[in-house]
Amino acid sequence: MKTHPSPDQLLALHERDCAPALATTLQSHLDQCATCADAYAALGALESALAAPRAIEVPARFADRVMLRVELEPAPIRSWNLPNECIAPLVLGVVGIALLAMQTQGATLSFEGISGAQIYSIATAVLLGLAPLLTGLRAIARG
Amino acid sequence: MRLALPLISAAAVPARPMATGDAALLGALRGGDPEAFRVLIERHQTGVFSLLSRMGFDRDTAEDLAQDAFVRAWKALPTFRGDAQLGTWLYRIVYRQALQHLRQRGRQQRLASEATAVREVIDHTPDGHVRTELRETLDRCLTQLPAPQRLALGLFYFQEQSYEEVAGIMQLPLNTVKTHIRRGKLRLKDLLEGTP
Repeated sequence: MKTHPSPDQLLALHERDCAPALATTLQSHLDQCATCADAYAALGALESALAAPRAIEVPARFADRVMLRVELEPAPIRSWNLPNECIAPLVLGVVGIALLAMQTQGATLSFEGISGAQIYSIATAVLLGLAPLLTGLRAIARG
Repeated sequence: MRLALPLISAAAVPARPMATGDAALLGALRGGDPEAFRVLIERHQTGVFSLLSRMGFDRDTAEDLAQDAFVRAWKALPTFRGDAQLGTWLYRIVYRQALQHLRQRGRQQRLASEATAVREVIDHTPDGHVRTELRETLDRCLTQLPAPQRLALGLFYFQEQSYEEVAGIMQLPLNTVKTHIRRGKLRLKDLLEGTP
């Protein structure tokens, strides 16, 4: 290697994150170049300083102070987090009531020759089928 | 080469299953039990302070940030679905709190560059700890790094987190995190050597 390696290359060598051929070239350069060997040693020293253990002292009565602030906070709003089995009937109920309201006002719903009642039946089947599927997917995602 | 770090409870690892203690604690927390929240604080406070210290925050700022983070965690508890470990979730809140703090403070006031040779920084006490005054020098240099580099470095050396774990907490792509850590290290080395 005729030129000095870049700081990035030295860091990559230090982290063992470069190709074996490049690592050999860099290493042989370090064996001959005091300046680069110094820079390389400095990187090792920095790594050591960053990773060195730290004596951590938690301020006295820290938990008490946090709890005091928590008590002053309004109670957290609980999310509904409804199970999927509840969401499907709820949606169906709302859609059903809407359809009923439309019918009582004389309006009819149809799409490409499919009546409102048929659409509702299809939606029921799809939603009821989706509920266990979503529950299963949730369980997989949570491991 | 990574050195061994002190043993601190409640390691935050997204890929690992939730610790038994945390699962029971989560149940009590979901029941709205304030005492369970005190247990959460006491279980994770050392980890939170350790993380903030590694990010280069002084003691007073660390206390403010830790308090804010725990209060924010309390408010956010209903939205925690248990997909990650409690610790990981908490450290994510601490990270966001730290990032917000740095953004609010704007550009860091540049401190006079301290021409301290890196080798001097590596002056360990017999029990392996970096000497206090030298650690303070390192921390002062840390404060001069851009926020993402500083926080990524703090997370990376906190409990020997992997790049993947840091990316999980920072919610950034893996390569972005690697770049922040690498650039942070090189900049830190320059700062410690007194290079402008």
